[in-house]
Amino acid sequence: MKVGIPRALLYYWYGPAWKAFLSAAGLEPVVSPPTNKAIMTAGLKAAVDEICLPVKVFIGHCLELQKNCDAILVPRLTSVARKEYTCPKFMGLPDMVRRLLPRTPVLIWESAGSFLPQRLWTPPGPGLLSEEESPDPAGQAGTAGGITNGNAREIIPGITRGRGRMKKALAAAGKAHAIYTGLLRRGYLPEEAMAIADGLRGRPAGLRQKTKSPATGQDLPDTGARVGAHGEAKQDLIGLYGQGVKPDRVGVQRHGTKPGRVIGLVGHPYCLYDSFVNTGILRFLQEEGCRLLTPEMLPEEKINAALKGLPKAIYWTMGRLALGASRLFRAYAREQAGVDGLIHVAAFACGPEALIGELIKRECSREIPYLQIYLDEHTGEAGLHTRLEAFLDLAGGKERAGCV
Amino acid sequence: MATGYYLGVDVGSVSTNLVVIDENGYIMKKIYLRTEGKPILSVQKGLDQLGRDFKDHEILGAGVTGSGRKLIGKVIGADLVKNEITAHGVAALHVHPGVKTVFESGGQDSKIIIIREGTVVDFAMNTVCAAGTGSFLDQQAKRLNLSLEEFGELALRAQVPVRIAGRCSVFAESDMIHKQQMGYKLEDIVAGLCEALMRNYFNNVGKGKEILPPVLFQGGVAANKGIKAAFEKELGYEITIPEHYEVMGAWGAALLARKAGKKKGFRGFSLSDREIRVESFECPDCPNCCEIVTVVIDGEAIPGWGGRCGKWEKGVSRATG
Repeated sequence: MKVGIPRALLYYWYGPAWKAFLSAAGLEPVVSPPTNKAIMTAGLKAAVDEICLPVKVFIGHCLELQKNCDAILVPRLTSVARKEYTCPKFMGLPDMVRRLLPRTPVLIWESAGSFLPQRLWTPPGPGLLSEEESPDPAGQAGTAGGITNGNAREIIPGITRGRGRMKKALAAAGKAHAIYTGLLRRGYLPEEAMAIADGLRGRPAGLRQKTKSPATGQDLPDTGARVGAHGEAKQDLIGLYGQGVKPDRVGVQRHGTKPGRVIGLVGHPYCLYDSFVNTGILRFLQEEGCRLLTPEMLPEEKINAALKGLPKAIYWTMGRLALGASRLFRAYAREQAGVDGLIHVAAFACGPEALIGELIKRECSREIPYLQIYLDEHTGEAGLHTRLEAFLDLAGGKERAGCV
Repeated sequence: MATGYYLGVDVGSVSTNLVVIDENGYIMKKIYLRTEGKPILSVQKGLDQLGRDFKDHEILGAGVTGSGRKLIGKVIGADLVKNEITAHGVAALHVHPGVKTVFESGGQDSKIIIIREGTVVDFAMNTVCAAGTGSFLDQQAKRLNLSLEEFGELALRAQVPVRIAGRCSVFAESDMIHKQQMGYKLEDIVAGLCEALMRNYFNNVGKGKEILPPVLFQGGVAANKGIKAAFEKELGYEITIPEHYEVMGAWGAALLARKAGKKKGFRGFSLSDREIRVESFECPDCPNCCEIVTVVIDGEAIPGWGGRCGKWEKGVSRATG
């Protein structure tokens, strides 16, 4: 049985765990393709008008998945860390999806205080419609895939009954999550980390090329220890940050002809890593020769340590990471070593970001070249590229932005 | 005697500006044209005019800036394509090395550039809203049947500027009509409009920025004396409008091309006589449906752009050798 995983929102944190869980539970996970125009347009059309773009995109992914999946896994991640919250919209996510996809069973991954599920269930009744109102008689669904809109027991045969199987699946999820976050810490971007975690299978062509040894031209073993300019510098940097040693400028010294700047990026993972939603900010920066650091690459203890002294704890997990990472990047910039600029990527109409963005701006914009980008539906890259180019001139320091 | 010059082009939403500078950076000739939605045609027009004076001179380098820089850069064969923020900063520093703040207000964009010790250290641009920009003034002046010069002169004669909501140009307009119908004098309304635009600039673009004198005010809107007066009233000190305020972006691009050194990619002033066609189509190869643009000069295609995957940039250039 195929269970769809929307490649949106916190997929960029928990996608590998969900995949591993479903596989271990004896189901076939299907991840929707990277966001494209068709997915976004479908989401914009179907979702309520007032919601933020990333949620609309999530809806688009669900609409895409319903075409060839028997069920869709929809997380209700109200909280993924103790005494912290994600976003109220994440709470209502399963309900929104059920309202829009009355015919597709939804497997709700519900958690509080940790990303592992406290409850895994399928709400009775197709969507919000009662059994009688349903356009899809229960009997039909039953013959189609053996699913009735009962609870998780029907979607995952035996999983709630057999404690052993559930335990096994949860353990697999935990293990996949640990491997994935470990790779992120080593400086891989999510798509790279997922590809590595999956093995060389399904690895994007660009990545495969990079793993060839520059000396022999042979494929390197897939240990994540990539040799070659890009990977090496990245790893040096991460290694140093991770050990708390003052980053050594030499470690990130410039490869090739373009002056490589190190740019710190903060923002919610689905804003940073969905390259369609952010019109390819990361790719643009990489093409300009920049090395990128994101909150996911920094050790969480250091982020938390950087947040000491706040009058009140930030209880939005993604906001806490963004502000903490910004403070770390600022500290590295202060030491004249390591980070040349800071970019905050936020979704327009995001409540928490409006506040956190202002905090970051006030705290950091005078000490480190800083740019704030709000994402909305526009696909025109001109305005965005103008800002990014000017920002890189800023981050390049005197020798680049100075007078002629 | 034929000497070498550098060309700078700024292709904005409202105006297209071209300058030719000598090797010392002095402007030899400047041209200010309305873009009127046809960037290629207006650049061709500009090149035609420049060609009359400079066709016997060597153009050592060409720089392009403005929102149409990518397109025009390909068309004219620019050696350097630079964002308008850096270009404006560079030009401002050239005319006034001690400048600390640059206000730039053009057709659709307004910007603030913060400069310290000869280096751009911070900038901001208006976001989605164009309420504080030239297009809005243009539109209101047209509605009142005033030329922009008259508009500025009128604003200076105001005694009691009327308060007009400047948050949104649509609301500002209805506010303005309302005040007109109440019987306020035209000059007070026009001055109120200038102040509304100024407030919007400080609240939107200039928010949280450390604005220190000397301040340079450049871009097309600087021609409006009423806006300059409103800025000065708010800041409490004089701001400077450089002599070539309307072509500062193009000047910056030319200066940057000069800095980049002799490249000579420029296709020449004769471009104005050639047939330039832009073709756009939706790429059918994946669900992204990117809008691809290619330029055809006298039947010869130059690499296209607009795709997310990058294959059109490479593909077409391979096809044409």
